[in-house]
Amino acid sequence: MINKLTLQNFCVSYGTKSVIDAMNGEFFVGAVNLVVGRAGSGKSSLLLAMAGFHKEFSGSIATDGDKFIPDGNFSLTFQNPESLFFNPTVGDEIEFSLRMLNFPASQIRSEAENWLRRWGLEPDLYYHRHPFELSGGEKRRVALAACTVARMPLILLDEPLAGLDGSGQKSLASILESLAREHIVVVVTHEPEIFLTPTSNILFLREGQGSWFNGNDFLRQALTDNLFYPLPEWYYTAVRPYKNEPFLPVINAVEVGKFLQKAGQPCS
Amino acid sequence: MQLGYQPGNSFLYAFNPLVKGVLCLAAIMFFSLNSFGVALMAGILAAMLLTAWLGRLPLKEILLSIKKIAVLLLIVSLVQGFRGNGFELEPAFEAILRIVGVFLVAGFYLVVSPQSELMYFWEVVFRPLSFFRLPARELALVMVIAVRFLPVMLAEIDRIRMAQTARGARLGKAGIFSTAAAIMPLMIPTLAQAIIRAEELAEAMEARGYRVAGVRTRYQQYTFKPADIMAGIFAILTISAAIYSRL
Repeated sequence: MINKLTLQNFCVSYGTKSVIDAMNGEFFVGAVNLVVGRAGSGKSSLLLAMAGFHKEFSGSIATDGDKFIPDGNFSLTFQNPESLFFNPTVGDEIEFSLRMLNFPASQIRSEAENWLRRWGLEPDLYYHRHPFELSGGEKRRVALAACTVARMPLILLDEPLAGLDGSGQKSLASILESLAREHIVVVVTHEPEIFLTPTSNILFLREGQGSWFNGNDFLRQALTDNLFYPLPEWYYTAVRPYKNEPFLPVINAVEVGKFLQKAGQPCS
Repeated sequence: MQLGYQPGNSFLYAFNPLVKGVLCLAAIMFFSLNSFGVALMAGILAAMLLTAWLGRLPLKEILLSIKKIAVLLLIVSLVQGFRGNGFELEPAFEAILRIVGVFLVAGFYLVVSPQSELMYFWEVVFRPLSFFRLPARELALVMVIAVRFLPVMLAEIDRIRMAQTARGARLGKAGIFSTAAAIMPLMIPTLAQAIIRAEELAEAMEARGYRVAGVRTRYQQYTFKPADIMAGIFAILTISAAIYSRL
């Protein structure tokens, strides 16, 4: 098990263009780690560099003091779920990671089916279908299930919310929250409010520089300065009255949404 | 980075497409057939690289693409190198030179030839088949699509490799035998993807008016210049020399 991942003087570049400049900080177990920032700020590049797919980086990544080598110990979902598919059936896609980790053969099928069900896809309906035949949201769920089924020590997700409906987003937030108890989960997203908790670890990337926040501080900053990070209007309206409280009461969008629905207010 | 047509205006780009194709085939035949020995073949390879440099081709990219066939080169050199009395360096090196030569020639040809020129060349090559009522233009199109989609298929292999690594596969750190074994699981998904892509391409072409039996005109008109004739003679001499060296 890896407890924390430490970035030291971490720089990512494309040729002569620097995307992330001498960043220091930590991702850790216990809460979902979020990476936010505008398009082109280097979020996806950071994940690709951590996974070893993008080679133009300098600095180091350490795990509990040792150098981190990405080799069979991480999973990564790409922005485009189709980039992840190469098997003829959904079942094969889900089973792949388990086979790679030498999971007991007799348990692979049942484990894969259970995990698929956890992501809201009934195995009887989906297990033998070709991944490319599915709808956008179903593809996303299959990709997420395929990447998380093996519960790797480091789980990297690049914009996992895209294409998911409301229930899919709730499942995702709930599954990632439970995975984050024992694994390092790093999520690149444009909708951090879905995952926010007061203890969330947030890396905010802007103009090559990384700033680290906990959920409470990030939200307070966003409520104070709309240019810092634009929150959805309904969420902003719901949370703004509490911005001067020492601790913001409920900051997870799913909970805020439930609260607003009970109060009879729109939350779209 | 995958090799494909890169616009340019040097003398290598200016040849008639037919001459470019014949030069490419001549060079491939030369590297496959000749028995001039390692030293002369290395010299010819160097001359070819110099020509490419003078022709302002992206040499660095083309040379770096050799990495993709590193495993093949290693296997072939081992197979060729081991003789009855142990391992011999010369046949191993000769085999490497032959494959690298063919690979580089194909790379140069792809870089200087847009799809329309490739199509024209293969159409001319297949033209005699039309006497036997065979669909020469369609066969040419098949060839062009095959060449055009080679880089796409290589990119597809990279994508599948990344997708597997992203889910716990350990492809890169294994030894030579494990690496060779790891290629097999890539083959079936790649073939499946190729078939899916072929279907999509067919639909896209038909959606834009392509019909198998349709009568088509040609937009580009190609002419022969003195340099083309010289290059054609050079190609014939090259093939003759390679065949002569075998006699």
